[in-house]
Amino acid sequence: MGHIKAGDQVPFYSFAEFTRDQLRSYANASGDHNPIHLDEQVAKRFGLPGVIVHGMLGASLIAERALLYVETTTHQNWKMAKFNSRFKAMCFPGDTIAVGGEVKSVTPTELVLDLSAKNQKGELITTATVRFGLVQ
Amino acid sequence: MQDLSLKSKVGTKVGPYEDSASVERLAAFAQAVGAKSRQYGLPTFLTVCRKGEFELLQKLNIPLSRVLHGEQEYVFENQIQPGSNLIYETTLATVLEKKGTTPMQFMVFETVVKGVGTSRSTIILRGSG
Repeated sequence: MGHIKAGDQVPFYSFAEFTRDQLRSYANASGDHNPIHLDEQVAKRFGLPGVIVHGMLGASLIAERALLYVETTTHQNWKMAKFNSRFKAMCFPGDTIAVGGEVKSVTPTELVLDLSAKNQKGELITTATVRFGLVQ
Repeated sequence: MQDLSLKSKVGTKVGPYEDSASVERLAAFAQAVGAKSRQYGLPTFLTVCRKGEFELLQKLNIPLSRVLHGEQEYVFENQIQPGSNLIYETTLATVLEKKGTTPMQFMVFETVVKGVGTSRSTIILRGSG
């Protein structure tokens, strides 16, 4: 594995701003219609500042960044073997997320990335460890 | 007592359930996320397999207003096959209590998706029951 090594940076990649329309689309696509993501009044009644972005939508952006990284950096058939995400803070419509991090470890058959999603203020929203295995 | 009754429910299992991983659904999920279009979609599509978690929360009388998603883990044996049906069962695997100035309860739901892998959701319970 001449190419990637532990400590290599995964550059931060910015995704489009979250919108209420997107939260509705995502609710339909994921089956998660929890009103805290869709209904401002309900979200506030539940003690939140307003509707919040689904945690798994943010995590999915991390998965996307991880896939983009392996696809553009290697030409090997890496398949995601394990994905572990930790939700640190909420994000809201109007926020943008950037995802980046570093290569934690790499062997001929396993690649592990440590990634973070940060909002436009640089605040940590979600962290994740993503492990890929090589399909022989 | 709230604490005792939750812990005593560890091991409760629900299912099996079925959710479609059709080509259209995989594509709709990727599009809603803002991800690139790929044959196998996004691995986090497994998040659709949550009927078991919702049923368990109902069985345990826990309202959604108390529930916050703390962590999510997926372990994949195989990729999701486009056009397949995801068949899964969910178990309340762990209940943890953190004592201290702000006591908190954590629940881990483990969902086994046949032929694909295992999902572990860590839920934080806010407030008191």
